[in-house]
Amino acid sequence: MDQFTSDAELVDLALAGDRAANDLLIERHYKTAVSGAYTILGSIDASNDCAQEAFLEAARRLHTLREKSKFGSWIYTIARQQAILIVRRQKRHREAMQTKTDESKSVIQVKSPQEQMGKAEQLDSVRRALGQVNEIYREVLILKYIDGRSHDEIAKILSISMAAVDKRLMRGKDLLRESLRRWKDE
Amino acid sequence: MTADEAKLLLPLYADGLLDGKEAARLESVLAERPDLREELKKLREENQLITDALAPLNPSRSSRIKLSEAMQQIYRRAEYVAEKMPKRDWRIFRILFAILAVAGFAYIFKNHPLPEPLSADAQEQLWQTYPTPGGPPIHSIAPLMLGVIAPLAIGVFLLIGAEFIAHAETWFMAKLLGKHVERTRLQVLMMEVFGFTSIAAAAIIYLCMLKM
Repeated sequence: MDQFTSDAELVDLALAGDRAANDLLIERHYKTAVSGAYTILGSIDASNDCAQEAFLEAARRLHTLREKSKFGSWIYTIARQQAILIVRRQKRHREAMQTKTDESKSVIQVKSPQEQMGKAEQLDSVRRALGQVNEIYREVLILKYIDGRSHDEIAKILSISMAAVDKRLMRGKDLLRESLRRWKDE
Repeated sequence: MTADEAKLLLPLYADGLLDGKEAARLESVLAERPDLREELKKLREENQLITDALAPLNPSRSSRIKLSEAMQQIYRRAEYVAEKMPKRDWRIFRILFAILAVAGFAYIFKNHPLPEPLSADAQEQLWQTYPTPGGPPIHSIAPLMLGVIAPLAIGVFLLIGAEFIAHAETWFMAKLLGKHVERTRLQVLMMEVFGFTSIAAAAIIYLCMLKM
């Protein structure tokens, strides 16, 4: 088993109890799952938790996966669904508590200017700016830059054409630049 | 390639989207234009900034190991449950049984009907002689038959639609809990057991009514 082993083979081996195959699936697709979660949640910790939850859910449902070669696209969808559930739960919780939105738990995190300085602050503003970009562009940007996925892979995960990936990436970067500029001006 | 064309292609080049030929043409323009090289440098820095911003999303080794262990536990549990589940598919047998039960009951109703109750007049007369608080006794066997037909119908429905009911139950639970719920063979087995029990109950009730 190596990097050339297909996802379909890895899924079969994982179902048969092969731990190494399962580990390889995690290694290969964790970032895909976390991208799906981050697109919705916009919080690093919550997205990591959500990606883990997505993998556990995938383990429960793995035997139902028909197109095993599409594991990446499948785990991405599960992670997104889990993230949407988290957002709904947070919303319900907030409504139940009848308090103002707790910024630390909100989908897009906003930190005080004193919190981070220098490079860290710069990275934080990139993340915040990313949170302002429309979701369809954000998901392509995240998939591209979190793992250096090829456009072909991104197209497969999102079930869209390569041309659409290119277009969304370019537009997404334009929007990100605009958003960053706005943050800087503020 | 003009400088303006090259400028337009720079973002694609920075993302590695240009094919070999186009990239070579752009590189020849870049060699002559320091302003475009500067622009390209900025674009690459920008890409690196996004990559760095997303870097914390990478999982630690320990969290990967924990996740892998948790997944292994789920696989082991699934194997255990699968072993405990009945493997045989009873679908044909139970549908056949349901059809036979309906045919059997139809035959019995026709050939061994319940004895006719007393006529309305006779019942009224009987009640005048021995008045009871509930009014005159029943004039028809229809309510009694309902006690047989209802469990029979429920039994047949459960046997024929076992999978569908289990599926609907799973769907409802998933909606209620807000997460994926797996349909199991055990749910279908429960429907089968209830179905057989209901039909048996209908037969016993009818037998008792005949003997009374």
